[in-house]
Amino acid sequence: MNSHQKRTPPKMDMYLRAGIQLLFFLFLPSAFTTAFSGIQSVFTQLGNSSPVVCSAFVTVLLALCAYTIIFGRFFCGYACAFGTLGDAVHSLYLLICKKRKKKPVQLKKSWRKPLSFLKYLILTVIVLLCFSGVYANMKGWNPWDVFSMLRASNLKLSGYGLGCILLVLILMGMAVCERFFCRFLCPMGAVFALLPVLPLFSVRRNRSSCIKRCSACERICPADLSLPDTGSGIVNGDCFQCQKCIRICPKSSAQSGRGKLRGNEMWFTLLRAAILAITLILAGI
Amino acid sequence: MHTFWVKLCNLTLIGILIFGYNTVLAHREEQETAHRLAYEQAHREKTVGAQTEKSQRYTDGVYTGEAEGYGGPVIVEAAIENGTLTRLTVVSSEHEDAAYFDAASILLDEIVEQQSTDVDTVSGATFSSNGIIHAAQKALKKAEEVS
Repeated sequence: MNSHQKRTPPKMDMYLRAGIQLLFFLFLPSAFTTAFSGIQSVFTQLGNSSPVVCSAFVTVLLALCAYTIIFGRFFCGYACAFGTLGDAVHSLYLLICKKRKKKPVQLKKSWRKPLSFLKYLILTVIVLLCFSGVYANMKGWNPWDVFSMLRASNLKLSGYGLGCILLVLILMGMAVCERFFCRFLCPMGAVFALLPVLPLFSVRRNRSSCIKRCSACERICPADLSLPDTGSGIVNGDCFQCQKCIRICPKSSAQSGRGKLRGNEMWFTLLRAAILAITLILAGI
Repeated sequence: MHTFWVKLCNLTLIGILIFGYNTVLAHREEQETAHRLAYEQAHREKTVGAQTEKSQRYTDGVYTGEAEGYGGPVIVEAAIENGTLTRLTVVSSEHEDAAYFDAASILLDEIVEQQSTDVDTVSGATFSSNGIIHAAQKALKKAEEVS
């Protein structure tokens, strides 16, 4: 059996994740919109038949994509300000339900899988709008703009009615389904999910030690994924690297890392967060 | 691992396509510049006449203008020499997001080059762009009013 896992105090990883999320939210909150502006600017330039310039947006986009190829969608799970907002709203909703002794509303499981393709559709539509040049004239609909303005305590929201309504709807979705926006709607998430991810740091499970019919890891997964086996090179593009499955496993058989490095997930998490922060700062956020 | 290679191939393909696209455009631009230079050479006398005619709308001096950007006020400084705008710099942009503001900063040179604030906003950085453009407009307005 693995002795490393036993020494980690329970819930420690939860606090670690919340702490990292809070720090990124406070100090590097605009990474997700900046990266997506990169996608938009590339396609706007292509549509204008002007050369693709490596602007500040594109640099951030490239940096984040390179990071995701190596480390998986760690950015989504730990650093994206909008994802953090979603996690906060969801936990708040669960807490309120618990206090009021009501059963929290959940999004039907059979809906979740087909809904997750919606993000690719949204990405395609936005990219086409940028390419055709229509996007530049569409103002006030983007819920991310509204969020960014609120975060910068800029309250001049007139003309952003549609964006405000969409943001409220998204917040409601976030409450009833963990990572609602990230799974179903996020166009940046769609880009990340399409990237090839090296299977270096992804979580896998040792099936031979699994308890029969235990599906704890699958049930806690915010993306409803089942873990790939140890040794298989599969990395699911929808995995946010939230690592909840590592803690929930009663047999400690869900692990990331290789060989002797197994069981040191907490340190890996810290290391990945540090590398991400450095990458983003170097990219000029 | 199979999907990984497929995705990697797609990504490389996209990279190559964009690189090729940029190379073709750069080549075209080169040719166009050569044509334009030849054209300008032929019509030199006419343009010289037009240049000196430019109206002296602005009074010489340094003027500041302030306008709302993304997270707060953006203040720019416009220097006028011999009636033309020679320099446009940012004095303060405290609450702007660095990446966005950097992207919008190319407008400073563009405004000086065009001698006009009638420039397009940088896509994706509309707030910061508008901050710079409006602040420059206010500064130039001051320069006009003095005369």
